[in-house]
Amino acid sequence: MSKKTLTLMSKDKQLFNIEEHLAVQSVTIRNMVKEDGASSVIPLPRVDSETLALVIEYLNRQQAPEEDEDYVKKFVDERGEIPTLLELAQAALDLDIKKLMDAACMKVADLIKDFTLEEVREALRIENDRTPEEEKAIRDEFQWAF
Amino acid sequence: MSTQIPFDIQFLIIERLPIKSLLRFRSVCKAWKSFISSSDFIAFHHAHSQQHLIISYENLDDQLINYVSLLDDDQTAALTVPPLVQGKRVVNSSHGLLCMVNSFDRFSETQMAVIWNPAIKKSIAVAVPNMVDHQEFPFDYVVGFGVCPATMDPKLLKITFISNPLEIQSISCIPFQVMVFTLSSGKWTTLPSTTNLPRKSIQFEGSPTVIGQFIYLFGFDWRAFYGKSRNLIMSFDLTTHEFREVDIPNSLHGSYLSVSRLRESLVLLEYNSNLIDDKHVIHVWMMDDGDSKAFTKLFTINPLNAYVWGTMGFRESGELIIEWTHAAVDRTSALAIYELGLGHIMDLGIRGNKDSFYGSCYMESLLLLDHEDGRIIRFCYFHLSVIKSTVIMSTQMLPFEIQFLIIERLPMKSLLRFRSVCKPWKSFISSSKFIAFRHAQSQQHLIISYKNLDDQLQCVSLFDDDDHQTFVLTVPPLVQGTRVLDSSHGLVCMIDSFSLLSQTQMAVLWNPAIRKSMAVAVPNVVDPPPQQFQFRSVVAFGVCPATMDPKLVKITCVDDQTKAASISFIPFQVMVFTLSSGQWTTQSTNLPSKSIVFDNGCQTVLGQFIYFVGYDCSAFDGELRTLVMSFDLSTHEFGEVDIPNCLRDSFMSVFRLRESLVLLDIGPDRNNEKFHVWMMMDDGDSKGFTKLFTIDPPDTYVSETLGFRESGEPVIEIYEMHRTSALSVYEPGSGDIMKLGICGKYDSFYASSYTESLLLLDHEDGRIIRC
Repeated sequence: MSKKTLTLMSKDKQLFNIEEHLAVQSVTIRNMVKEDGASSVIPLPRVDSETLALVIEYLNRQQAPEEDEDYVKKFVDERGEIPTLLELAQAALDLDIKKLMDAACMKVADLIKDFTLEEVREALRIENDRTPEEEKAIRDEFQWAF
Repeated sequence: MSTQIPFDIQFLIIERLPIKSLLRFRSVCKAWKSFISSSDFIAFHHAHSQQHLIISYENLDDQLINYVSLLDDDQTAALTVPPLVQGKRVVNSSHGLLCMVNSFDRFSETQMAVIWNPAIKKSIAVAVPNMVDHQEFPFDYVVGFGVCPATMDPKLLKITFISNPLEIQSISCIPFQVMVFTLSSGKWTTLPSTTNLPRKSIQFEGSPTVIGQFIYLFGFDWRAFYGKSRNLIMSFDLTTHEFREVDIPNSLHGSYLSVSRLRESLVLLEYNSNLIDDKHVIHVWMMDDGDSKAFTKLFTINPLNAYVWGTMGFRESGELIIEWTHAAVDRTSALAIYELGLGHIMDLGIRGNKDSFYGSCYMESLLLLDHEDGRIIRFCYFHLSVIKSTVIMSTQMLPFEIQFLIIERLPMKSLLRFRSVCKPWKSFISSSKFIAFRHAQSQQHLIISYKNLDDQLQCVSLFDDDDHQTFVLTVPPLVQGTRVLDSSHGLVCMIDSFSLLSQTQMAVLWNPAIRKSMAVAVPNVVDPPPQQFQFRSVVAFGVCPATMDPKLVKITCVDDQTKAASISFIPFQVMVFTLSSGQWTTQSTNLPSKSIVFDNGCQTVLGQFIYFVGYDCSAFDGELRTLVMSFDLSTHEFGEVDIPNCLRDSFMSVFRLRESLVLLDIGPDRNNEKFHVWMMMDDGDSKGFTKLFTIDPPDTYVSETLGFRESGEPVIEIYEMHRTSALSVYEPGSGDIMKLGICGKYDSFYASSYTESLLLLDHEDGRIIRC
């Protein structure tokens, strides 16, 4: 009996095939499969093809459950660029793949924990909405942490 | 004056007075006032009042909104419309209160919801937070209203939904999807996304209806099909804030529905368009109450020569008030009573713009009696500033959800710094929800205070891992001269030793993770000598898990047990300090028996309870009976914990081990060196204690058991020589002792397990609260 395959479509209309039993590690896909029966193509309008390729690589991993934690850590460690990790976290959140989301966010947190405020804003594309006075007030309160 | 008329009779008369008299007669005397204002009476009165139907519509002449109130006997009642209500249409009603809203421009203005009690002529306006940029995002919202029958608290419900079904796929979450306003708090809160919020594919429409504790709403669910929705009725529980889908007949999932109330039952109006003359045929379904909540079709509204556009509500007789026109193209509607049996329409002579009619039934009530009329509750700017950054669709911005997921994984020090990144980060990090979450994620430490050989206070933190790593904590000035008492929610309570005669005792609340501390003076209200020797007090500490409010409890007891019988009462026996109020209050009810002597330093906090060891000397034989008392941090009630009988004549200490209570049985002799460790086992119903092990290392003098690590190993103080002690970990399995390389003065070691938290973040460091 051949295994059932699903096709995922990225934001930029690239198609990816993946076996259904692997794809349903994503709770979102599992729900879609359950509801629609066998829908031919599942569109993922917020995930670009590079990120989707990574997600599929992750879903295709063949790991024993006890090695899985380490594998996820290593998987995100090897893709240590913040922008990539953020895309990955976003995709994992949309697709509801908890372990991958967890690991990607944890890695970002690890990378930024010693950043300066300006670096954090830049890395996470956050606009500075604080006046220098407000910033100073917070800094003065916890001088030792800066 | 002859004898007074019994209160019963007076109250029976009051119950029969019309509302206007009730309002005036509140001034008759105090008893009348409190009777009329009591929630029991308000509920009784509401249940016995007549039903009105209030309708708002746009006047044909000036397009302004007019109001009309219909009594069930066809009379039109006069309505005084207060300024706050003017210009607003009816949404729905509950417990005699009407909810009114203005139509408004989503792009620029704020919508106001007015809660109005026409019977007592009071109204309160509440700004509906408009936190999404509607110009950029396809969001819309509905407002519902209801009074929680359990608490009689008026609540507003705001559900944001995606207004364009085509965008549902591309939006991962709806920011601030469900917000609830409670009048008792005066605030809007957002329901957490972990609760069962409506699916993001549901679009809500029409006016909601309240029955009992539920608000019912109609919605289209676009999840299942492209181009065709599955229509449904959702209920929102005013008590638990939970959403649920109501089971309706399958045939109704394809129709446009509206919800209404007939007496105390839910009614669905199913609109079917007749394609030939564009006329609505309305089927009326009523929910059968009983075991099977099924719907039964009551009748169909299909009058001759009339187009029905909407229903305003049912009268108690079952007749329906409708909005109708003569021809499909008419722009002017009229109000009429629809008589079910004959299908007749009885016009009421009220004309207005088509589709501008909104109505709701209400019964007179006295709710809002104690509220200030004309009050306007605005929402704080904090919410607004958050939304500007919750731009979830923009390609530039990182979704807020992801930012928060990252913040949740940052270490404490980074959290403190990164509060300055931007305003949303600051409010997220300071929120009580995040503080609770962060605390639950933190690793357990053991904090130990002791005096070093130079008599200086030292505080060390012992990590709960295999390496037995310790590090020295920076001791803030306030903490000097104190010792560890207990810890709760990341706050360590330190207390100084003092002499009764001269000083005030200070309790210091210290958060070592964020390095903030504050001191609270413990009131010393016991009289000067010679009385002083009769009493002594114990102080305990805990953070109430429900409110996250740090609290101190001071219990005074009779020091000399032989005198307990001769003392009639203990002055200021139980005093409670709450940080939120900054004050000590004396508790007058539910006090422990005066025959109980509490042991100093023998308490621990677990969940919402502080546990104390006490010795009851009320027995006739003069023997002490050991007991464990609990103090509930939420309700401030004392209780007694069942302990095995064999422990009744032992000296004891209490500790916590992970989330369980542990008793340390010292035996009948206080100087015993052998300690039995008992743990409370929580097997569902039965809470019993089981003996875990005995601390009895060979050739060693254990002077004190200080606390337990998560693994279950006790941390102990071991006497060495020359009045010095060493900090050690005892391994119960092997009986081995591992010294941690920390030496201090004998009997100066105190410890408590704690987990890092962000509590006290918004408090000023170094503050001293005096009595």
